[in-house]
Amino acid sequence: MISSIRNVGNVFLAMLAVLTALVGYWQVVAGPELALASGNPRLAQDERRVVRGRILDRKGRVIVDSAPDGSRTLLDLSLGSVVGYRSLRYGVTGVEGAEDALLAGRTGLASVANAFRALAQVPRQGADVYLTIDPGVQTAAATVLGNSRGAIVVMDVRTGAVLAMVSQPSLDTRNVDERWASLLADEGRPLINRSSQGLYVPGSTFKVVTAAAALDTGIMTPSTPVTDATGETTIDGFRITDAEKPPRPSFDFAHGFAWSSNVVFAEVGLKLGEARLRDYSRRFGVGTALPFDLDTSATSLSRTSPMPAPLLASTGFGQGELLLSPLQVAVIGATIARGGDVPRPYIISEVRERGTEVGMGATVRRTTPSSLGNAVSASTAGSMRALLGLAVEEGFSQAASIPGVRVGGKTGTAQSVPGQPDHAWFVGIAPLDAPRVVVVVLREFGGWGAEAAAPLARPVLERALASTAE
Amino acid sequence: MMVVGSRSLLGDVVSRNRPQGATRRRRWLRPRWVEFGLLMLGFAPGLVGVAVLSSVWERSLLDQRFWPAYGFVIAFVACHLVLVVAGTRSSQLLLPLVACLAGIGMVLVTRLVPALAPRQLLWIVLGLSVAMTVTVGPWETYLLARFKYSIAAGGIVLVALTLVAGTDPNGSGDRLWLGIGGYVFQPSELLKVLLVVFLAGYLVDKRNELTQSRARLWVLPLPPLAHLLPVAAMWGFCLLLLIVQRDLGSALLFYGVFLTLLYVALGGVWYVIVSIGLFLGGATLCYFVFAHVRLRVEIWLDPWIDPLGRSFQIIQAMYSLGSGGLFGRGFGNGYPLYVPATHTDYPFVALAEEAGLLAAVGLLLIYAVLATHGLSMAIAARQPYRQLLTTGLVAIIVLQVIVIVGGNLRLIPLTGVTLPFVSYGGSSLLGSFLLVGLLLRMSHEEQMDQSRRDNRRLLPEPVVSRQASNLPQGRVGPGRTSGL
Repeated sequence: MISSIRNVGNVFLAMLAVLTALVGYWQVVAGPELALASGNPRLAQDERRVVRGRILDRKGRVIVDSAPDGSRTLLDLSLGSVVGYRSLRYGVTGVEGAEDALLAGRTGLASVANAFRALAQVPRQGADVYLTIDPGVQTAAATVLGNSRGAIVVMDVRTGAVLAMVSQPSLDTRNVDERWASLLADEGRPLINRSSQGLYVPGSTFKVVTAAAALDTGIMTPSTPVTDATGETTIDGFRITDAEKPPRPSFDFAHGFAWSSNVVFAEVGLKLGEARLRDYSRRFGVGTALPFDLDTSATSLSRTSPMPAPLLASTGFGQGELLLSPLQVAVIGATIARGGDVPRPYIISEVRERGTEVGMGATVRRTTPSSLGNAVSASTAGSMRALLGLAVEEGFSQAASIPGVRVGGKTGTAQSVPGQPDHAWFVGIAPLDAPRVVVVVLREFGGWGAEAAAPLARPVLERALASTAE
Repeated sequence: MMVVGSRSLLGDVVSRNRPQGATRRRRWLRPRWVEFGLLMLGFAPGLVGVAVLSSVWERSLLDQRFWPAYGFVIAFVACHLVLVVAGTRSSQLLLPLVACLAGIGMVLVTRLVPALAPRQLLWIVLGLSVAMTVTVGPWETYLLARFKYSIAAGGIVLVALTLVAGTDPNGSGDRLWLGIGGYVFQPSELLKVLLVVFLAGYLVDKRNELTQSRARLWVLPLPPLAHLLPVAAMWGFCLLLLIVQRDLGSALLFYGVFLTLLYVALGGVWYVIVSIGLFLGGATLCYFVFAHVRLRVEIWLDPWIDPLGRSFQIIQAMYSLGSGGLFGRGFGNGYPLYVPATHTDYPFVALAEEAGLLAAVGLLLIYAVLATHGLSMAIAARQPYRQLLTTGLVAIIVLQVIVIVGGNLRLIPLTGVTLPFVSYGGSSLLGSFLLVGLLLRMSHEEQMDQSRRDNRRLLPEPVVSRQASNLPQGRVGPGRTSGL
C-alpha cells in the first residue's frame, strides 16, 4: 500500500508539473501574442496608462508631444503627413503607425524608471522615436514649397537617411476624428504622404535610369554622337516631341542628357529594349513598394507587357505608363551619388526609452543604414554624375547651381492630366565630386521643371550641404 | 505492509483508545512554535496583496475593504491557539499551508469582488470552526470506518435531495445547489468528503476479499461480483452526475478520487486501467448523446468558433493569462474581471495575470508541498484505514486543483470545480476545511498512538525493550513531540 501511495504521489506531482509547464507556455511562449491580440480588451485600457512617447528630429527638437489629456500635439506642421495621425476610430498612420507598439508602450517599457513609475502608480512613458529629419533642412524645404501642392525629399546619400520630407498640403493631425469626412473629401488629399505614397509620371528625371542603363550595358558612351535636328520624331505613327528643341542639331549623348532630348532617349529606350529597361528599373527599385519605415506605394514601369515600340520609346524618356514616387526618384539620385549602390531609405533613426533629458534613455532600437543591392557599376555611376553635372552647368538645370559647389541634377516636365499643366520635377545631388545629399522636388501641375522645380532645390541643397558638413 | 484483518485492527484501536490511566491523560498547552512561525510566513502573500491593493486603490490599510483580510489572519491565529491549548500533536505544516492558500484566496476575492470578501471570511471562519471541532473534538476517526454505511446513506440522501429540490442561484442552468434559509449549499462539496470516508472504510474492510479472489477474467483478477458492486455503483453515479446534474467537474473529480483509492487499496493497476476505460467509454457516449457535453468539448478544442458567444469566457481567460507574462501586470493593475466569473471559475488565471507566472507556479508549488506532505502523512500512518483516508483526502485536493487549473489552462474542458481554499464559494470552503480537520485529526491520533507505543516499549517492559531496540537507558517519556 505504501508503494502505491508513493506512486500516487509521483503521478500527482507529475500532473502538477504538466500544469506548471502549461501555464509557462500560456504566459511566456504564447503570452506576448495573446497580450497584443486585437481582441484583447486590455490594449485600449493600457494606452490610457502610458504617456505616449514623443517624436523628435535628429537634433532632439520635439515634433509631436503628448498633451496631459492624451491628445497629440504636432509642433512642426510641415511634418504632419510624415508623422501621421493616431485615432482610436481610424487607426494610426505614418511614424505614429510605424512605431505604434513602442510609442504606446505595448512593448519596450523595460526601463528601471518605468518600473518605478508603475510602482508609484504614475503613468509610464512610451518610448520616444527619433527621426532622421534635420530641422534646418526641413524648414528650408517647407519654406520653398510654400503652399504649392507637391513634395520635397532630401536624403543623405551616404546612409539613406531622410533629412527632410515635405508633402503639401500637409496633414493637420489634430482632431482627425471630428474632421474625418472633410479630410476624405479634401481635393488636396492631405491624408496621402505625397513623398512616399504619391505616384507621378517622372518625366525626364527618369532619363537618369535610361542613361545609366545605356551606359552600363555599353550601348552608349557619354561621347557617342546623336542627332536631334527637328525636336521631334515619329515612332510607329506616334509623334514624339522635345519639351524644348536642343540648341544644336547634332551633339554627343552627354549633351542629349543635359538638353533632355526626348528624341534621343526614345531611341535609347528602343535600343535597350523592354527586358533591359525593366531589369535596370527593377535594380533601382522601380516596380515594387520601396522598403521604408512609412507606407510606400508600389511604383511601376509599365503595366503593359510586352510594350509596343511607342510605349517603350516614351518610357525611355520618362513618360508612357511610368509611375514613381518622389522618394523613389530620390533613391535613384542617391544610387548614382553612391557609385551604383542602392540605399535603403529610412526616416526613423532610433527608438529610445524616455530619459530625463532628450537623448538620454536606453536605446530600444537603432536603424543601421543598409543597401538594397547594386544597380549599376561604379564607373557608370561616375559617368552619370558627370552627365548630371553637365545638365546643371550647360543644360536646363542651371537654376539649381550653387556658387562654389558643383551640383548635378536633372529636371523633369511630366505630362499630367490632359488639359492640366505638367508636373515639374527636379532631382539634384551635391557636391558632385563626393555627394552628400540628394534633393527631389516635385510640384504637382507646376509646369516646366527648369522653372518650377529646379530653383526650389537650390536653397534646400545649400541648407542640406551646410547641415551635413557639420 | 503487514496484512492484518481490518476487524481485528479496528478492534485493536478500540481497545487501545480505552482510557488506560496515565497514557490516556491529555496534556494541555503544547506549544507549536514551528506552526506559529510558518503561519506568519503563510500570511505573507495575502498581506502583501493587501498592502499592494491599498496602494493601488489609494485606500488606507485600515479601510473597511481590508477588514475581512485581517479577520482572516485573526481566525487562523485563533485556530493555532486552539490547537496549542488543546495540546494537539498534529502536523504543524498543514495549517500554515492552508492559511497561505486561503490568504491568497481571500485577497483575490477582495481584489476581484470586494463586496463578497466578508462572506468569504464568514465561510472561512465557519470552515475553520468545523476543522477545529473535528481536530480537537472528543472522538476518534475509527468511528468513521465503523459508521461508513450510515455515512454513505447520508451522501445518497444529499444527492437525492439535490436531484429533487436542487436550485440554481447563479442562473447557470444546472441545479447543483440546495437552498437553506437564504443560503445555498452545493452538496457535491460535502459529498466528495463523504465519498472518501466511505470508500476508505469499505475498501479496507473488503481488501482481502477483493484481492484474494482466484477467479480471473482473462488476465484480470475477478473479485466476487458482490464486491464489484461499489465499482459499478460509482461508475453509474459519476455518469449520473455528468448527465443529470451536468456536473462534469465533480464527475471527473469523484471518479479520480475513487480510482486513486481503488489503486492504493487493491494495488492492482488493472482496476485502474479498466476503470479509466469505463469512464472514457461513458464520457464518449455522453459526448455523442448530450448536446451540452458536446458543446463543452467543442469550445475547449476550438474556442475561436464563437469567441464572442459560448467561448467568450475561455478566450478572455487566454487573453488574461497571456497578458500576465513572467512577473504579471501588478496586483490590482490587471483586468482579470474581463473574464466572467473570475472569482469562482478563474482565480488561478486572475492571479497569473496580475502576479505573473512566478506567482502561478508558486501557487502550484504550495499545492505540491501540500500533496507531498499529505501523502507522507499517509505513508507514516500505521493503520490501513488512516492511510487510505489520508490518501483519499489529499487526492480530493490535488485532483480538484488539476481539474480546475487544467480547465483554466485548456488541458481539459473547463468545469465548474473550485480551486481548493482559493476560489470564492461557501460550500467549497466548508468541504475543504472539513477535509483539513480530518487530516489534522488523523495526524494527531497518529502521534498519540506513536508516543503511546514508545511509552509502552520503554516503561512497562524495560528488559525486552532494551534488548530489542537498543535504546539508551536514560531515555524516558514520549519519543517525539513535534508533529512535523
